[in-house]
Amino acid sequence: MRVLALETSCDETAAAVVDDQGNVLSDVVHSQIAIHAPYGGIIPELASRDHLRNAEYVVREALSRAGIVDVGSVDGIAVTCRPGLVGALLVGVQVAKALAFATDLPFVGVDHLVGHLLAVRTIRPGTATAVPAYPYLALLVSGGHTALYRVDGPLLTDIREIGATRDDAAGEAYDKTAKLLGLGYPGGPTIDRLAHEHEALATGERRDEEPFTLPMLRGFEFSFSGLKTQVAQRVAKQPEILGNPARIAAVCAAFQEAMTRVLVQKLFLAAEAEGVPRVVIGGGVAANRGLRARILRVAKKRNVEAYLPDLASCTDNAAMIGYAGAMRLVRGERDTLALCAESRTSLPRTTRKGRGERV
Amino acid sequence: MSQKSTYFLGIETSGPVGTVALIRADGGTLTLLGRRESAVRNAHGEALLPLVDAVLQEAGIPLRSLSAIGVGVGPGSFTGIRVALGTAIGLRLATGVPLVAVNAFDALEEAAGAPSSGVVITVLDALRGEVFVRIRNGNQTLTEPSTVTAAAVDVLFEGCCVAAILGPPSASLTTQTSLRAADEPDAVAVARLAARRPPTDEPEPLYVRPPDISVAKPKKQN
Repeated sequence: MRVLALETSCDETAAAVVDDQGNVLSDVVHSQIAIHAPYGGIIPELASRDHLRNAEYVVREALSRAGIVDVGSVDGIAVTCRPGLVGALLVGVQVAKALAFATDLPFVGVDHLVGHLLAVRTIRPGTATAVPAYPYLALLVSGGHTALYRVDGPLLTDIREIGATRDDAAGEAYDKTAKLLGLGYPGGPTIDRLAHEHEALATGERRDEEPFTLPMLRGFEFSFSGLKTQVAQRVAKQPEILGNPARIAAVCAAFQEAMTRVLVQKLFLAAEAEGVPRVVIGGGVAANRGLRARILRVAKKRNVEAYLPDLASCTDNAAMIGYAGAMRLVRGERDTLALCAESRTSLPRTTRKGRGERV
Repeated sequence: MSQKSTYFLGIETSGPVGTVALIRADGGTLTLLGRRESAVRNAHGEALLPLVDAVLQEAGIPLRSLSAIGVGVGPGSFTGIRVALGTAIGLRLATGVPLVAVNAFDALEEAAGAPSSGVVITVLDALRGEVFVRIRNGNQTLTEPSTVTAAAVDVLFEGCCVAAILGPPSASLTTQTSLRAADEPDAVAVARLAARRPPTDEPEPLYVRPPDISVAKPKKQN
């Protein structure tokens, strides 16, 4: 089964053709980073306008790269319908529904988070990545989400949230920290690079910053707003940091150390608690080199299998949506032309945002 | 009657009421075959394709046999404009049926039978106490569409030598030359214009208003 998928939930306009084995036949992503960068964050109306401008192009390109002349010759259509910016999601949802209506092809909406959790199972040409069997423990880390899930299968009902962030998402903490350090938007890749450069220095030339306190909550919940505040306080107390690239890099390394340590620790603790012998990651922050290296290190030590998706499968893409959609379609699931975009995920949540007891 | 009938669909969701219409063209004669509407606010995305389906089914006209699809591109609700355009783009991708972009001013004029010569001022409710305005003289557009307060329209054009001011009953127009138009553009007019115009290769939304962007003020350095 070949599925054409669209993804417009945030700041990437994407289309892909995938089969139900996870083979990525084409994957086209148009990024809006340059549009939002001047504002230091994503402007929803600008995102929606740009999605509309590029939707037709990415679909045509995805079809042509997959060698498909007629849309009607694929076996199904999938689209991200939640969670995300409603106005942005709506563009993809309308285009996808119109394609499904006009071709009479089976059609499903996909939860973006399910897409990220299954992204590690997509296979890109030229890469020989092994694919994890079920069940696996997944750490989803992006600019909008940070949570741990137990994944027993490819459907919504097979996925259970173990714990999530109480406040900022990991990627959000990266962006805010980068802003504090004057590093621009998006912050994750820059902090990762500077931390890497700092750690590559010889012991003699390297002056580490005082480490940040680990933002450790009980159980499998995360909190990252405090980590960002620690950076803000350090910079306020020692403003000379900002004028010194070496010190900025050292702060990045200390921030990344605290961030990845907490994420990785909880991922493996959750796998142990659930009795699951394999871990995976997904989401934009899963492309972070420091995080990937630490996971591989700990996995080896603990004798747990770790699966890291290709970098192209970490950031938002339509291939993962196509695969998640194919999993629904092969089981006979369908959505109607009245499907609408929703801002919230359909995955049940266990962690409440904000302070207070868990419910 | 040697000429074959051709069929045109119109979709228009830029205002509170979303509409779909199908017309038949026999030479220059246009006949309305069906029209559906949905007045549920913020739900054009859910309603539109089921309405298209109903209109086509009722008339027994397959989507692929349409000669063109007219699509309302605003100005109006940003989201509504994208519902219509996103849908139209998907339909064209799948079928190759060409699109014809129709802006809301033209649709209002078409519906009201505005004069083709002379100065015509067309006004659309833009909410927030403002109206979208376009001024043309014959087929020459004198101003790019813009937003002004409703009261300013009256003040500006009172006693001017205009052929018609076209505006919805909800806009506070008092100028004597006013032609009252419908409150918002309708798919029937959109479909009729689609039948008379060449296809639009790249239909562009007519937002008029820039996006609302509030940027945090930079913090004062001590």
